[in-house]
Amino acid sequence: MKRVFIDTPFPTTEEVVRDLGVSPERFERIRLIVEEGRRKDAARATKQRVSRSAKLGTVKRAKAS
Amino acid sequence: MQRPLDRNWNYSVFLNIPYDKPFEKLYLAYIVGLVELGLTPKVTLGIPGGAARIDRIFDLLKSCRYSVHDRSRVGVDRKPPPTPRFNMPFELGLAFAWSKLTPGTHDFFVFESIHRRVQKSLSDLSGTDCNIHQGTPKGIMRELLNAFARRQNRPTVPHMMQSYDELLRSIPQLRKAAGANDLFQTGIYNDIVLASTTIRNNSRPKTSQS
Repeated sequence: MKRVFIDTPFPTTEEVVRDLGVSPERFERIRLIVEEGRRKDAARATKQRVSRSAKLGTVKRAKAS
Repeated sequence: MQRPLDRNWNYSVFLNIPYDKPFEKLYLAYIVGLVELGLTPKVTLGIPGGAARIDRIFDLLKSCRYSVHDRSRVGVDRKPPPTPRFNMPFELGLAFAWSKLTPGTHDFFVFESIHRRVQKSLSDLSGTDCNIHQGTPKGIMRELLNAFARRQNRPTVPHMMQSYDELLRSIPQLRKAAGANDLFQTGIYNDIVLASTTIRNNSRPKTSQS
């Protein structure tokens, strides 16, 4: 099977931004969307972990204040 | 034409795929997979119709060190008049000719979803190995890794799938921000490539490292 070896460095985000001709403002908006998604994923994962632990009885549910 | 010494040329990949809704997930898989390998996909979205279109497509192809041609869409387009689409095999022909005319400056890959089908749909390519992805994003990641070998910082299929899932979760927001009805428009295409690059650089070297 045909295969090529890539030795070029990973392009930086700035290089890709320049290559695509995207404005820095637009890139910033994209970055925020990705970060927001990542935060939501982390929150969802924590919630699932706590819920699973609570079901297993390893963590007591926090009392409602 | 960009010179081979141009750094953009070195990591640019001409991505020759169908632009339609059923192909959306595979389109995203190609983008994520190539970006994870440190490559930048280039597509013909945004190139206007008209006489100069083919020249601009050829210029785009020549500005890329590699090209990936997905030959999995070989059916008849049912929109009247029902007809097969020949743009993609035509562009594969351009890539073949370009790689023959300029040895060492262009490598092309043929991707398919079904084993041995290309021998029937494009028998002139008999003897050319195809990368068979079975029509799944995971298959595309695997075949991209088979085609493009990185000596250092080589991604793995699970890592690429993780980035793919992360991108999928961002798509509704990206679509909303771009005001795009579908993903096959220049604006949102650039956003998707940038989002993939950001996802990759969150877990990989942030500076130019091989």
